[in-house]
Amino acid sequence: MGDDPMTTTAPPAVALDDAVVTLHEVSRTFAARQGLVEAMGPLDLTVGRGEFVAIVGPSGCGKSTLLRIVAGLLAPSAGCAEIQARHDGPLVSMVFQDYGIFPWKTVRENVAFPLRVGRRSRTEVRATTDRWMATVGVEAFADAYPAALSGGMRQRVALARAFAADPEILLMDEPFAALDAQLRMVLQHELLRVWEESRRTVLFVTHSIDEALLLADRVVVMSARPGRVLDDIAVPFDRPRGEGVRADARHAQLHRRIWDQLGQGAGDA
Amino acid sequence: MPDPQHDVAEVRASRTITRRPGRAETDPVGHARRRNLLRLGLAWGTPVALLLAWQVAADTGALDTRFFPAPTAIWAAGVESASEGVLGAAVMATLVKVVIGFGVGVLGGLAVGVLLGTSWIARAALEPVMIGLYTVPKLALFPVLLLIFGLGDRPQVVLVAISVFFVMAISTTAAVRGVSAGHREAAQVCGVSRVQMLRHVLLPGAMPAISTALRLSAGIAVLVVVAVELVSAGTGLGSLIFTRWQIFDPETMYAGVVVAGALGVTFTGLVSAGARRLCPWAHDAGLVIR
Repeated sequence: MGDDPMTTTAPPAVALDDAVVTLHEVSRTFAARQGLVEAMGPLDLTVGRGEFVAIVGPSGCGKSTLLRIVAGLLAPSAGCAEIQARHDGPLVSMVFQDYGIFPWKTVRENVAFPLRVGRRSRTEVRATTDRWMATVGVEAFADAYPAALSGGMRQRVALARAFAADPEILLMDEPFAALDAQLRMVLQHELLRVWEESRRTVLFVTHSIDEALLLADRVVVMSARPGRVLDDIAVPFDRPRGEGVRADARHAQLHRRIWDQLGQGAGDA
Repeated sequence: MPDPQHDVAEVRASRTITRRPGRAETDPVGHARRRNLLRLGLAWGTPVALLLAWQVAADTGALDTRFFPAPTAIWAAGVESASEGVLGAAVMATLVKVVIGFGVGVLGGLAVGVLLGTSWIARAALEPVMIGLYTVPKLALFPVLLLIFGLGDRPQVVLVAISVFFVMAISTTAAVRGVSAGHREAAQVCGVSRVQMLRHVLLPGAMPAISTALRLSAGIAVLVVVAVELVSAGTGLGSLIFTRWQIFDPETMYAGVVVAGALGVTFTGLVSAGARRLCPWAHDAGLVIR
C-alpha cells in the first residue's frame, strides 16, 4: 500500500509488500482448570494477496485457533496479527464445518446475509445473490430452508455466502470434513473452479493432505500443540487443476513429506 | 395395528424367516386414512362419551343433580344467561384482561429476557433476583397490587402481566443464551452490529423456544385471570362463577366453567397458531433436496 516498489529497498524473497495477512510471533493460551494451556505458537506466517494457503496439522494443534485469530473472533495472547485491507468490503468471511448457515433463513436469505449486513443496495444484493447461487448450483432451492437440503447442498450455500460477501480474506475451517467421500471430491472441484475464476486470498484448514495438495498454492504444516510452523511448502502443480494432480509423481513425494512431518508432530502416525 | 407378517417354517434346526409387507405397506394411502379417521374419532368421541355418561348418570339419579346438574341443564342455563347478555359481558371482560395482561407481560418479558440473554453483567446482577421473585406465588401478591392500584380491573391485569412476564423473561434468557456459538460467530465474521445480531441471529435462533413460552404463557394468562376474578368479585367469568356459587345456581356456575375452558382453549390455540408462523423453518423439514 502506498510505497512505490521502484524507490524502496528490495523486498525479501517472499513478496511481503503485498501480504494480506502477516502474523508476528502470534501465540494463544487458554485458561483451563489446571492453569494455562498453550494452544498455539509462537508462530510467524505471511499470506500474499490472491494466495490459496492450506494449513494441515494434527488434531488440537491450533489450526482453528489460527483462523479465529485472523477472523477477529479471538485475540492473540501474544504477538500480533496484521491484515492489509485493500477495498472497503468485509474483512473476512468464513466457511465453517457446520453451523455456518442459518436454519431460520432461506437459501437466498443466507447468501444475501453478509451483503445486507453490509448495507448494499437492494438491486446489488439481488444480483450478487443470484449470481453466486447459480455459480454453486443452488439457485433451484433459493426459497427452501436449509432443513430441506442435504449436507452437500448446505455446504454449497455456505460457499456461496462466503464468496458473495467479497471479503479481503476467505477463511475455511474444514468445510468439507462432515461430507462423505464422493461429495467431498465434487465440492473440492467446485471450489477449485470457483476459486480459479475469481482468485481470492484463502486460508484453508484441513485434515486431508490430498485436499491441501489439490487446492492450495502453499501448504503450511503445523506441529502438535502448541502448534508451530513445521514446514511451508510451495505446491508446484499448474492451474487449472483437476484429478490429474493426484497422478503427478511430485504429488506422492509431497504427500510423503507432509505425512512424515505430521507423524513426527503428532507422534502417533 | 398390522405388523409385517412373520412366517416361520421350522425344519429341525434350520429355519426360514420371511418378512412380507403388512397392510400399512400394501395400502399406505388407505392405512393413513383409516388411522386419521380413528384419531379424529377418538379425539371427539372421548369427550362426547364422557358427556353422555354424565347425562345418563344425572337422568337416572346416580349423580346428585344439585351438585352435578345434567349437561343439558348446564347448556340451557348457559343459553339463558347468554341471551340475558350476562355471559357475553363476562367473556368480554375476561378477554380484555387476558389480552392486555398477556400483551404487556410478553413485551416486558421479551425485553428483559433479551437483555439478560445478551449481557452477562445484567445477568449477574438480575438473574438471582428474577428467579427469587419467580418462585413467589403471584396470587399472594394480589393484596399488594390492590393496595397500589385500588379496586377494579387494573390490579387483575397487572397480576396477569407479572405472571406472564416471568415465564417469558426466564425462557427468553435461556433461549437467547442457547443460540449456538457457531451461528453467532458466523454472523460476527460478517461484521454485524449488535442490533443486526439480535435481529438476524439471536431472535430467530431463540424463536422456537420463545414460541413454546408464548403458548404456555397464553394458558397461564387465562388461568390467572379466572383465578383472580374468583377472589376479587368484580367483572369477568371468574366472578360470574363465584357469584353463581354463592346464590346456589350450579347450572350457570358450570356454564361459566365450561365457557372459561373454551376461552382458554381458543386463546391458547390462537397464540399457538401465531407462534408457529413466527418460525416457519422449524416446520418445513419434510422433504430433503439432494
